[in-house]
Amino acid sequence: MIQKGEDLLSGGAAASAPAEPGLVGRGLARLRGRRFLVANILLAPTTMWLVLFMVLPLLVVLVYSFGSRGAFGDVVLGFSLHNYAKVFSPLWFPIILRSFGFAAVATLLTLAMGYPLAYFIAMYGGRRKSLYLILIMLPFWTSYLIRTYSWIVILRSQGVVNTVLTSLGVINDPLNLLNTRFSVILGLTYGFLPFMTLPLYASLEKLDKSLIEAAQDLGASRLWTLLTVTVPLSLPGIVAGTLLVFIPAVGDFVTPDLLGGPDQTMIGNVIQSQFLSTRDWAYGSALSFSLMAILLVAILLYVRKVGAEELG
Amino acid sequence: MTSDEVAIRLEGVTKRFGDFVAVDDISLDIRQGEFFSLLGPSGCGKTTTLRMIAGFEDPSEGSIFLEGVDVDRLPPYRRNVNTVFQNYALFPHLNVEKNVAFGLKRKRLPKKEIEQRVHEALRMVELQERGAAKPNELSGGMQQRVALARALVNLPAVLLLDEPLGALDLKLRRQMQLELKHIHEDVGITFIYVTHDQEEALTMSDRIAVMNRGRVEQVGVPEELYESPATRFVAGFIGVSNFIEGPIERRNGGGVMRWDEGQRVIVGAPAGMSLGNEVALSVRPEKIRLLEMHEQAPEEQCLLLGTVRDVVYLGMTTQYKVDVPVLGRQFTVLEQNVKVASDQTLWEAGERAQLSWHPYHNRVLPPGGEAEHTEEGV
Ligand SMILES: Nc1ncnc2c1ncn2[C@@H]1O[C@H](COP(=O)(O)OP(=O)(O)O)[C@@H](O)[C@H]1O
Ligand SMILES: [Mg+2]
Repeated sequence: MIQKGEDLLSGGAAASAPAEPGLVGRGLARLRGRRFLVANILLAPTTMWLVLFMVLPLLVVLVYSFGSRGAFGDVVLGFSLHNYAKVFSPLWFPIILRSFGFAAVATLLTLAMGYPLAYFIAMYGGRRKSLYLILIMLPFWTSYLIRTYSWIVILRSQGVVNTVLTSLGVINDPLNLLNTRFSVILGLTYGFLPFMTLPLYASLEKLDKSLIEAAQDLGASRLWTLLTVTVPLSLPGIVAGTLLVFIPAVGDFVTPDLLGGPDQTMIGNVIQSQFLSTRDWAYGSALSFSLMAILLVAILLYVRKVGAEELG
Repeated sequence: MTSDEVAIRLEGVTKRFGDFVAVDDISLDIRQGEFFSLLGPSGCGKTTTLRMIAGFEDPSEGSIFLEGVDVDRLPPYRRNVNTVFQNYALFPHLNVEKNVAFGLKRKRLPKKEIEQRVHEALRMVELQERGAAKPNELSGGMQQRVALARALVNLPAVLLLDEPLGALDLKLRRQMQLELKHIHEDVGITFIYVTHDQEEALTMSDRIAVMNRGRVEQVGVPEELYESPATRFVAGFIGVSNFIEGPIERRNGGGVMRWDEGQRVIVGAPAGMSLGNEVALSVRPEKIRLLEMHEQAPEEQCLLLGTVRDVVYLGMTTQYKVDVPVLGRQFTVLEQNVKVASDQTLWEAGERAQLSWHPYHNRVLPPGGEAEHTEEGV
């Protein structure tokens, strides 16, 4: 009996030890094996989906990016780096810079608008929280394209803003709102605001309200509480929100296409035209991959910086 | 009590949430340096009272004076009061030192002084080694001590503690009760301590306010509350009480309740008691003695007849539950085990016994009031 007890113990305590596992250990191992199997079965559809529609296309794009354009706009496979050499030409540099600039400004604006909004809903939403969240997601019920088009109606020279301002006598000649830096950034900010607000809301909602009271109890004013407690503790939401806005905003081509002029071309437009009008798929692929690489580096730097602050 | 000895004064403070009255017309004077407890069952308004003092809730009516100054509309961060929250509310993103330094930094003290005071505060709670740890790396007891240090380091006029030991296990709680008491003596700051644990309140407090349904039932030193409960609720909530009700007759200089077989409960003559009316009394279990049926109780003692139902031997004492038919209720009697020896046994369930005590131990209660609170302990 005693021997058996010891066997049980040793097996349970050191399931990973090389010693022969006891009853408990073997039971655990079997259980773990079954769980592993179940997990894999459940994950299989997602894994297949990702491989089929994410990994494979990316590989195709990667392979293309080393090829060149054929005479009829087809792709001639090969291995050459000339596409990548062209990416860093002075021609595209201002456009890449502009894309990052527009995206950064739009990200800051969505943060500036989304944070108070998310804060309000999380702290004072009460029973209306779900209603407010639905209102935030409401724009998704219309396509991004249509919503962006509607800004043209609002911003053009005979648009809503100009008509109202002219009839009120505030201005004589219509303002040039459309096809400007302003209109593109406005469109990006408008379009991506929910992507900022929702993760911010999620992290502010989780925040223990008694911490805010504790800060005030210790003499912190509302602003100081915000800066030293609320913002640091909602950092995960800020990181998630900024990434969710910044990444797609950098590569966006719908907004600059509809709301911007030739001076507002973003890198997304360039890539799009390589694929659709110039039909240089190889070059478009190289541009896409370069953009991804630059974004990846930027994100890594960003997350590391913010992560370090969070720890310190 | 002169006004400069009063740390906190509540004057007719009432708090309503919609129609619900959470705190009902409380007036209290809490002295400088006092260890004052708010004691009452869960939901009686203790936390709400504390939150009004801290400034997190505004009273619906009445005023709160902190060191003689009306703090109405003063935000929490402008009140010289600090709180130890029940869930500790430590900042998870700051280490222990930064948690403790939080209040001092806000006061823009010189860096050197902050460091020194944080160090002292951590030494006081015996956590000087753990300054760099994050709160979630500490045990519950340690987190509790950080919360205490974080509040005390600011040397507030009043420290508010909301069931600070509620989340700790019994042994740790006992130990922390003693530590808190020592710290209170060392720092000399007024403590307002919220608890629903009467034993904790009795052992730690200079004075206690017993609260029930938003009202203060009685304020007094622990002995006063135990020996002279002012209301039925206090009699039942603090320790265990036996309740007696019945019509009273005149008896030279006082009153008496009489039943058949010579059963009697003798009452003094408290002011305002009109004879012939129903009177409610309470008597503590340890004041009652159990006599054999053949023994003769002195004429001036109270006497009731009963049947022992339940015997719980507790080492130093034995607790009996005794049915008293004339009252239709069960009495609790606590006897010292001084006579228990090899030749003398305890009472046994089913035995008939006489319950006898001196009228001095009867406490007349105001009519009506809360149904009795049944709780074991003390
Ligand atoms: N913000 C609030 N809104 C509505 N009711 C509340 C609020 N805060 C407390 N209450 C109610 O007031 C009563 C007293 O609560 P509380 O002061 O927390 O009691 P205690 O601390 O003595 O357990 C409870 O019935 C509680 O439900
Ligand atoms: Mg409470």
